[in-house]
Amino acid sequence: MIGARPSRWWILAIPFAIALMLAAAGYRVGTFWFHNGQHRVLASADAGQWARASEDYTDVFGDTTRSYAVRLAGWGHKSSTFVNGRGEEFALPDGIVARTVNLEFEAEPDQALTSCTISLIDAQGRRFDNGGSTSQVANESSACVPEETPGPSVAVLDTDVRGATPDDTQPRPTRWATSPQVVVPRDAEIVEVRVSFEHPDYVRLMPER
Amino acid sequence: MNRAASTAATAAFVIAAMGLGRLITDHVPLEASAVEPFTVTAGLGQTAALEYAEVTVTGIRVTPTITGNPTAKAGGRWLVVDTELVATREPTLMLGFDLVAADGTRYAHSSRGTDCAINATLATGVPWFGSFCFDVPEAALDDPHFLVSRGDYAVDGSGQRRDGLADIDLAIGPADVGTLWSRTEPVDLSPTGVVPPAPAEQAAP
Repeated sequence: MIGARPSRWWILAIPFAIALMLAAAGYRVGTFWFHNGQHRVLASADAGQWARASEDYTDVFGDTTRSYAVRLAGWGHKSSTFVNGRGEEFALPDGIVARTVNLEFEAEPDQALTSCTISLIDAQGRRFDNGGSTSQVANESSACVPEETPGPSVAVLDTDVRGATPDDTQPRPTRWATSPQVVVPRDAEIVEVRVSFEHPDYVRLMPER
Repeated sequence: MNRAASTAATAAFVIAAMGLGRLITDHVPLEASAVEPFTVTAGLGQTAALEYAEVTVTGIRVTPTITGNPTAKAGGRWLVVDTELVATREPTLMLGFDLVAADGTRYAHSSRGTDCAINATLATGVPWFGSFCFDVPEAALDDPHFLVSRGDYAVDGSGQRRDGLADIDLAIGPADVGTLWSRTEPVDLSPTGVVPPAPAEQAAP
């Protein structure tokens, strides 16, 4: 007589159990990794081409979006001196230069674009930023907006008006150019330019190689 | 296989699994391996290469007085640790800079002296120079180590868990303590940042 075979249906549950275990064990990956760095590409474009991005963010009034287009127009000069965000000008150490990135933007005048970070990625995977407000070699001012007509900032106070142009400036044009500087080692081979406003999102621009 | 044999095999499997679990919890140092920082040791003038930064102590100075406005007098003596840091992968904020004496006593760095470094915001690939100032008793000058990390020590090292930590031997032996303690010359510090300090300002014990 052949005995009753034990059930094998539980084997089907193993992949689901493993997935559930990994999800339960990895719940902090989002907080401490994904949302704590540049990990999501919103748009990508080759040199000279436009990358169009729309990203979600939250201001004091709730969820909203930021839409813009950006293209890498080319490289400017390499400088051995640098003026940082505090207005301090100094000579960079030997082997270090400030590279000028020529960017062009398109956006409606009501888009909040005043606080962005420009990052350069080199062939070794190193990331160089124009930002880091307390770094001596950082200058985030006007990296993504015209200096005289920056347009609105993200609303952070109840008294702010979302998308409003500051009273003391003219509305930002719908198309403009910027030339932020990023401090890098002279021999760094830049393979990618990033424009980011908030983690984890960024726009990827590929320079000619 | 009849039902009795199947049941016995299942029971044996469960007991074996429980035994294996017990062996793991008894013999694998789970807590120690999970919380300790990954320490890289170096000596004075040598570079400790962490995963995220290179750490070099270029010199130390001992003085009762750090000049500036205002001048800072030490309760014991200032042990000034001249440091060079380079972020190797991405812009990095470094917060952990402690002195540990031979008896394990931990000293926090002071911001009382003008231009004493507090923390370091590093741009990738750009050397950063700063002097960390510790107000210490004479006994702490015997074989102190300088510990450097991204996270601060916080509570029981909680800010440094599972991350790279540089342990720099400052190369002060018992024979050096009396000489260093008796020094009276004031020390003037260079501002922290990417501008290298003048060579004459660097000193060895």
